[in-house]
Amino acid sequence: MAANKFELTDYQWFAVIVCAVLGAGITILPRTVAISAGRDGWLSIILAGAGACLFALLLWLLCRKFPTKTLPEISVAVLGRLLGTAVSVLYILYAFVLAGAIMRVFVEIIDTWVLIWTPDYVFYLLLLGVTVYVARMGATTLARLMEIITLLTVVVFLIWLTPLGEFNSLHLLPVGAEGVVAIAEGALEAFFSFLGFEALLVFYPLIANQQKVLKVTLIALVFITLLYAGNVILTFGVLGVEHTMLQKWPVISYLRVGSLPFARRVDTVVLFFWTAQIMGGAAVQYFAGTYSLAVLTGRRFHDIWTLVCWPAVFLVAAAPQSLGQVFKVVDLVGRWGGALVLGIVLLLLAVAQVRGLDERGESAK
Amino acid sequence: MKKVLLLVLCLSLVLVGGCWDVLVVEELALAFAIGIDHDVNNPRRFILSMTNPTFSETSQSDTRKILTESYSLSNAFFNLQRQRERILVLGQITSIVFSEEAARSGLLHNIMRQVDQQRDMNPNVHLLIVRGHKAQDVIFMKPEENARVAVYLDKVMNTNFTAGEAPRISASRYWVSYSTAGIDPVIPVIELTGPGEEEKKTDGVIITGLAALDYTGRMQGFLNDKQTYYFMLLTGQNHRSRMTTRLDIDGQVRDTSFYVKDVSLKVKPALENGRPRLALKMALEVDVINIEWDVDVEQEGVDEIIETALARDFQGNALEVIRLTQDWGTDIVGLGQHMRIKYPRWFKDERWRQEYRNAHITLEVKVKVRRVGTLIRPQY
Repeated sequence: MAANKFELTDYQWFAVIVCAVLGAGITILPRTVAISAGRDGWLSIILAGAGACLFALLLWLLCRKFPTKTLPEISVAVLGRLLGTAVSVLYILYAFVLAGAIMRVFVEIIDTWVLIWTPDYVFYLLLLGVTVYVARMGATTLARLMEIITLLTVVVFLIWLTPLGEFNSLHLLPVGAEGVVAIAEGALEAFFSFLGFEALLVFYPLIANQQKVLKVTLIALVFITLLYAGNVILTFGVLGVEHTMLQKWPVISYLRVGSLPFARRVDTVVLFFWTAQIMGGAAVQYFAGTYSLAVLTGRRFHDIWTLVCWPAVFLVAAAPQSLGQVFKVVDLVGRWGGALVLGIVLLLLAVAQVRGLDERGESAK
Repeated sequence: MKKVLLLVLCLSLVLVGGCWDVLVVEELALAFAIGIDHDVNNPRRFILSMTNPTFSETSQSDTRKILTESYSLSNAFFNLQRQRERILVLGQITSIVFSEEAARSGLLHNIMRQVDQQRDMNPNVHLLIVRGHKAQDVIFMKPEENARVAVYLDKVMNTNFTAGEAPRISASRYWVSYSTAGIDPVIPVIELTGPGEEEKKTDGVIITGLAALDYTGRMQGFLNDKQTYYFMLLTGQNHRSRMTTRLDIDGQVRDTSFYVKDVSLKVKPALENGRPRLALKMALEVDVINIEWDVDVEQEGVDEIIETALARDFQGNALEVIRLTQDWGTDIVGLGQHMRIKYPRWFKDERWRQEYRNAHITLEVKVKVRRVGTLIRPQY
């Protein structure tokens, strides 16, 4: 099915998911899973990836009932105006908070490892400038940019392999010794790193080939799961689990072990390219939030909302006063945000099922 | 227009942020190597020595030598900065040299912990321990092969790693070995070379072996150059290994040298009445360079005789290395990792430290000779 100029192709949707999910969380993921699941952290990632695929299935089941509607329209149709609006506002707040959290974590990394003396607000304003601009241009422009960033991600992951010479497989053995409970706990922690693909709730009507949405989404999630698991395996193999748990930014510590003939500090090369990934992740969430606002308020174009909502993202990014608070915010966004979105989807699915709401059925009649 | 605006915005992300962190290369004092010694007058302090290239046409010397006393590494760097007209940069440091006293007392680990927290420090920096001299003697020596000590040290370590003479030990390897349960760190040991009295030896350095450190990061023992080869074979760090030994064949000692083309080690851990038992099986493939033996090497059975003699030689020497590490209480081979993998519930880091000294370790060696030199009759 050929996409028209305002619809997303399969690859564009794949790229949007990759950019929305692969944010700054990957830099702390090895420590997060190591604390819960030890050497079996990579198994937790795979389990979390399976969980994310199940969640994607639920999202798809809901979205396919309303193929021309975004989340605010679905929630109002299913729950009524008052409750539907409340649910939409919660999702919009979640999207803005997630965009702010992504930016803040990245700024913490840059501020710690590369540009120590540059004021934080400079990073926020520069990142927000591009994010607002890209989000304002609409879904297709955003998706085209995500295509380029996704291609760039593949190159970045090749650079990611440079410390491979220090890899020791003994660090990963024995497999499964931490126990099922520990692996499951690790999976729960890791699951929050997969958040972002719930943007499907907003993007679904904009996708050209809706028959393939589930397949493309699952492929993207498997791709991300492999990247996450590979990242954890590499970090454990090079740094060892015990040393990984000592690191605030284990992936940066891992990357610093590598060096290239033309660049001694591989971490700065990766961070340079990763800036685009962060901007992409934030832009997808910002677009999802502002587009939902536009739909909720009955405006056809969301450009006004993109121009006025950025202070909310800025406030979320700038509010934490210390790194400890940043980690708390990330934890809160992951846990409560994830629970919120999952809760919204389950509620909408259940109520739509009970009330027999299905746009496809209605249009057939 | 929109594309231009997007391009400008994207470029600004890369370019504008650097204004606050601008570093002009011409205004930097690049540190390339540092030395750490105890302060004999105050055990809580240490002495840091460093050389920087001056990069100045008007300077009388091409390097600046600096010493500073301090309680902490950061404080030492701040002290060094106050002596320089340029901004001190640590990212280019390629070697850190410790005196043997610093390694034995625990100062080495104290410093390495602090190095781990220096954000701009290169984790691939070489670590070295100097015997018989102070670390500052190494930093301030005048090597004949290269005017700059740091470049010389870096090249010596890299070249000898490539030539299979020494393992590559970096700061990150030290941190990982120190933190990981079931393995202890090692650091190459060097000595100064030169004619005459000890204090006049400033021509260069020689890698004499490896220091074995325990779980506290203190040096407990020293493996000489030959023992280092066996350590490298046991740990799979043999990289283009070339070895010499004296084989007992037909009741005579015969000088032999060979390349080790391939080596594999299998470790079978077991617990017998609560006592760890490790059965090691090593398989080697060697290419004999020369052998002092008056025999036609194409004769049937010659290869087998050499293989048996080499296997005996490997077994004796490698087991000696393991016994030494058991006496020192430093599991530098990492046999504890195999116990951890096989018995994760039994294994505790503290328990292994105690059990390793009395662990029953056996080694079986199998050697395959691929070829014997280039002459039919080596001793003609």
